Amino acid sequence: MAGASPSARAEVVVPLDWAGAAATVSSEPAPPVVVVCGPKNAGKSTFSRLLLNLLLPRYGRVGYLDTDVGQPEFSPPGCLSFHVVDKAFSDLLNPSLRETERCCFFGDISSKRDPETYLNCLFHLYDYFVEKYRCSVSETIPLIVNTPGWVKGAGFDMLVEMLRYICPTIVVQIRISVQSKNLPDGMFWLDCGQTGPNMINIDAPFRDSMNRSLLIQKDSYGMRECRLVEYFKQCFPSDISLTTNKELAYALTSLPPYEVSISDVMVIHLHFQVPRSEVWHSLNATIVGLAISCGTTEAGRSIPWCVGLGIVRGVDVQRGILYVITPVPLKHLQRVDLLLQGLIEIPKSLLQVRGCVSPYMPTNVLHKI
Amino acid sequence: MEAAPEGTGRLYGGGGGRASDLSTGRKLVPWSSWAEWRLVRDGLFSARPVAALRRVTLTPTPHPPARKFLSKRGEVCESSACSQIAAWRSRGSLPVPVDVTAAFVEIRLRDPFFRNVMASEDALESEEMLAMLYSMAIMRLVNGFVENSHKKTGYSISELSEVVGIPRVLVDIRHESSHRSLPSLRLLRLAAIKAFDWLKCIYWDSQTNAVPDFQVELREKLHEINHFLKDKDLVKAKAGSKRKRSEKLISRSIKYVRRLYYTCPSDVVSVLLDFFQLNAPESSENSEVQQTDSLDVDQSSDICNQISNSDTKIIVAKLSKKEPRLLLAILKSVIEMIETLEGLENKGESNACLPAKIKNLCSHVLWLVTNIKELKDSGCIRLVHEKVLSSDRNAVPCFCLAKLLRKLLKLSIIGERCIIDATLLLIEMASNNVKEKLRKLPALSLGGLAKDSTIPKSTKEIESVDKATEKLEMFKSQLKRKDVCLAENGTRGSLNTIMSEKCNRWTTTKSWTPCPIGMVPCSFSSTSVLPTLDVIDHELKDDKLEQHVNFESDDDIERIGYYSHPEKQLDVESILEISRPSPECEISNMPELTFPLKGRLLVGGVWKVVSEEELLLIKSKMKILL
Repeated sequence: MAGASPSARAEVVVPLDWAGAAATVSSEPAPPVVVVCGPKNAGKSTFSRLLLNLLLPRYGRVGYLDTDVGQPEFSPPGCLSFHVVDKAFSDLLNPSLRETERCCFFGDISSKRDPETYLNCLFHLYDYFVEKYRCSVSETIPLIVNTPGWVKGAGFDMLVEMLRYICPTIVVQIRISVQSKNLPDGMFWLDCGQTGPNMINIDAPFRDSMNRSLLIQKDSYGMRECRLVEYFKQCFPSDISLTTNKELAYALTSLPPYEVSISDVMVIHLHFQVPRSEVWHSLNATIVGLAISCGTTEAGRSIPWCVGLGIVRGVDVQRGILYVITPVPLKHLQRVDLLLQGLIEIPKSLLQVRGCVSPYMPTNVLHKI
Repeated sequence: MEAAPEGTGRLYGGGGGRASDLSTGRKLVPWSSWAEWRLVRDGLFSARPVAALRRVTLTPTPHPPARKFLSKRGEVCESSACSQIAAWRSRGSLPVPVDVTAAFVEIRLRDPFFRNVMASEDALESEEMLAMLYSMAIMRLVNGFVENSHKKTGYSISELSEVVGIPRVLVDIRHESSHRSLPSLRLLRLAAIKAFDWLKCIYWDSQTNAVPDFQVELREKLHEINHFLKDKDLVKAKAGSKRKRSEKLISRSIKYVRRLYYTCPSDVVSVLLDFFQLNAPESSENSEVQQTDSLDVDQSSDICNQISNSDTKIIVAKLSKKEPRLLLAILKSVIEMIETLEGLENKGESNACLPAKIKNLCSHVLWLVTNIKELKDSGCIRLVHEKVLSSDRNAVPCFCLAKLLRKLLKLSIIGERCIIDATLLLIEMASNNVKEKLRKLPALSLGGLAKDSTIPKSTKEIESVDKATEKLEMFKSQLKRKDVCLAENGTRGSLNTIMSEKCNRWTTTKSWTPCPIGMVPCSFSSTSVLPTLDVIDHELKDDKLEQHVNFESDDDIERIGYYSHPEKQLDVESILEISRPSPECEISNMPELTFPLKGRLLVGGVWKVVSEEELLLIKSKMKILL
């Protein structure tokens, strides 16, 4: 198709209705705000990437609001983030880590854990976009909002809230052949009589011989683990070759961590109540979001910006020091005064190093058969 | 149910075939050691003589006075076990049985039937609510054990439950409470007791049996090595093949011990120390002073005594060729042991064998230090300086030696010949600049000793000298920092200046040795140790400042308020931390604590704010001193 990125992989064949939809969006007179929604595994992220590649030549920079905390596009799992992208995707099928412009740490892989906080994070990021890229005319850029596979229940309610808040200019809905698993047709988030944005329906790309949509099943657990491993690989300069997980895991045990005084940071458990006396039992050898508490004065919502993730690799309570591993550069780290603990599980492969096995990985554990 | 296909029904195996129920490899768990797991287990089951509860359920008097004390006492442990499990839960990967057991305990703690209601405010009076809690916990138990296989195989919940062995009454309650009316509270209480017993049997007891006894295993291996060594001596004269075989066996056993050492360094140290101690002349009869785990000493003491002191030394020497830092760890523990013995002696405890014990330990100190020196000379131990980051497993940061040295100097038996020799050796090993500073120290302390060798006074003097050195260190490092001039910022109230004050709160660790995630390198031996994770008391006082703040605006205001009063923060935390140091941090790391102390100086026992000029004045005087 005409607008496809030349570097797109050969086997990616863009269906006609997708090409048409993408073309419609990119030919809008004003920079559009596009929300892409539809059921799980239908191809939302792939379409978003395609769209981004198409919008880039015209605008130079495209905003991307990543709202899928389970499988984010550019950031590690558990984060909602806003990016300004100026480089096209070379791989339309797989996500890649990129530096975020603004990020909130939600701390779980499903938004259902805390819908209110989730939406607040989302609105916070959107407000940031509006303030920075919409208020001054010269800076105006388009925005793509990719959503998780929300169709029903709590997720559907959140999608409605989100669409009402964002008021997109275009909504792209991807539909699959099983009608009951699709979102309602039309502008389901508006009361009747209200006029809404441009609505485009497209079909999921793959179909079997009986014309049923084929959903791309993903090993989401494995993908998340991969994501985190990739993320923490950034702790090392790219010229150090760490090809296997084993090498990385060993390198992480030897890497001199950052240290911070316990009294200089505040610990917040996002989804669980943890007694004060147990706080270090809870935190040791887990992944935390590194956030800044004071940077939030500009908005009414007090949601701290997150600069990245870290592993609390050790705690010395007597000396009052936390040891943290993170790829976040030291100068960005200086403002971090909040450690947000969510439920992002540390990849097991990082804990099993020969001769350096984490105490949290014992043998002889009674488990399922 | 014989119809159920293999491997689908049982999740947490109960009866036979235990081997297959254990994970073949390693598994991520929320506890940092089996000891921690056992502690929680004991807490959960602390308050519960099952028979007593059963009797109680037959005679429905709400608060049987006979149980009053028992439940009151048990309650403490139970609730602390529950809060520990709350921490586990926040880490994820909490096994279902643990989760559900904690739920039952927590509900019981709120059920007035099982406890003295007057004792606490959080008792739940509503029977309806209690019934709801109990049935939810029971539902989660049944589902947690069978739901996965129910989905996979399509067998009914009750069929699968029978395979797993869940008591039928629980399955019925699950069914009734989800599809029909809520079961009666009486029934639920009985069922909860049943569920609790079942969990204990199916999970807690089985897991207890499955955990290997590390210390016993280690002892066995060490005896094996000893045996082979003896064997080797015997066949020395004989032909090579046999000797080679035993050498091979030795190296294999040593490898095994090393593996144990990796998983649990401190246990290896304590077992080796046990061996040393048990061979002390008079120690075999009274073990009350013995502070290390004497738990399984009893059962295996007859074997223990077979390894003589000299044999243990040979084994340790062999081990330390491969794991040189082991020596440092043992040295640290020996010194600490001497410290405790001295403590006992100073308290006036009259024990005939104390001096002998100390003497024995002192000889070990010298032996250890001599060996460390040998290893260092042969290049097995590489001393590294701060800021030289090394991934070498055998690297030992210089400050480790310096710290051991300080520890040694603080002993009041510094007059012992062995200790003096050991000290001098250590001084020689420590790098040049440390050497110069420290050369003065033993002279000072020995001088003090010569004047009056009765212990208490000289201890004090040594301590004060030590403290003075620490302070010197601290001032120096403080002055090195460019941003020492915090006082000049003047306006402290606004947020911005506070931010700039904090601009160095994150630093890269100056020295590091590879160690597993979740552990920290011991500052004395640089071996990995599992840190104590319990919150130090005074931190708890700030409870309300650091509670579960869930992105709410008023909490945020409070947080900002917290930062805008740095003085307050200082008062509560740092000063307490400094003025009540634990023995470990007292000698270890004053330099690292410069932050909270910035701009303050200990003058006559009080932390006073000092201006920059004053600090500079001190600095210049310090230069003269040095």
